[in-house]
Amino acid sequence: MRANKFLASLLLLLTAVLLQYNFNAFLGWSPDFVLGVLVTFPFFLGFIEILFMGLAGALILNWQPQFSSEILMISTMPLFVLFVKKYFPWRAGLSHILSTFFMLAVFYGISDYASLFGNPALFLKSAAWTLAYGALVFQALNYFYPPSQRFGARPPQ
Amino acid sequence: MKKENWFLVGLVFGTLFLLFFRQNLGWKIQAFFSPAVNLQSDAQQKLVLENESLNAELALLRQIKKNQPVRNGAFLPVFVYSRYPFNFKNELLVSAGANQGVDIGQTAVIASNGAASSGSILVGKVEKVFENVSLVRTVFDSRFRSAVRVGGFGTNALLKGGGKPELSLIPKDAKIANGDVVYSASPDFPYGIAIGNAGNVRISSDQLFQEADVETNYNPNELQSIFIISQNF
Repeated sequence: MRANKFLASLLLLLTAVLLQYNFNAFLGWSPDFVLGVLVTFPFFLGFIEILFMGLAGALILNWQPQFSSEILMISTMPLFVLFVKKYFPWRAGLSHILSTFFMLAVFYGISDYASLFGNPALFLKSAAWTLAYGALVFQALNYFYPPSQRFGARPPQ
Repeated sequence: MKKENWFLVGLVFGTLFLLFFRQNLGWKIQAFFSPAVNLQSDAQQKLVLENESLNAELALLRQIKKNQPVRNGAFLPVFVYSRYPFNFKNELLVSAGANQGVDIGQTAVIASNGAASSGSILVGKVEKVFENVSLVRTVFDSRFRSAVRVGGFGTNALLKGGGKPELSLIPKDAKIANGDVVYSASPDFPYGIAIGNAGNVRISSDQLFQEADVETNYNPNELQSIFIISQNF
């Protein structure tokens, strides 16, 4: 079961990479499918799997020989979500959407603050697509690999 | 510790090694996932680009004086390895660096007709140089700024980079029209290299200047090779 989930997640990551590069090639912009998928994984995978997925995403997206702030964020954001999600008071689905949007905003706020506010329409367009894709991935993983605990729900009395 | 955890730990360390010491594997994966260039449209695109650069040369010859210095730069052909994968910047990683004579600030162009020396289109500027690769910031980067001229009258304007590059600070009484060629006029680049065509000419929101979009006739995501001009003019 764990191996299946890991392989399925790896395939989802590669699908996100494929979509992101094809969108960019044909439209000139792309939603951040990879970031959306990486922020989804903390709700289903363990620490080591998430660490590997973050590093794999960083390896595939890296465009230069030196380690940049963007690549560092790609590698560490899933781990950050893994550690803070237990403090979310909402159900997993809502926590996932909010954490995806927040991570996107932080990512673009740090990597190109001026352009984020200079072109908010592009950010919102990218965020909408990313959230939709992330939600789709979340629901698929939730259906095939339901989480053992629901976050925010109280145990039965 | 379970066997599967050891396997994952091994994967993590392997990926870390690749990330720090074998980044070109990631670039090969990117190239594998990127769509292939359409060869049929490539020929058509070359014709459009050649037309654009000829318009720029014509505008240049109308405006400059007779003793314009002859362009004598060395054009270094380079392959494009990798692109910035997110939305607000546009950088290219190319296959030449300090060992091949590339330096910060050099101009990156694409050839409009296969020979860079006779007609070029400005792509951007070298921003960072490593041993055997360099980063080029393109005109599609939101941080790109350059002085340019527009059309046969050589109207001054400021090119602001971005997903859709724009011209700003065009004098309100300047006569420019959609389709006018935009060419470089900044000391950072060789003079008169075509950049694109003006489109959607309009009055700015503050009513003090004109603005326009810059339409380029190539897709930056399909660039597979460019030239670095390795000599100053």
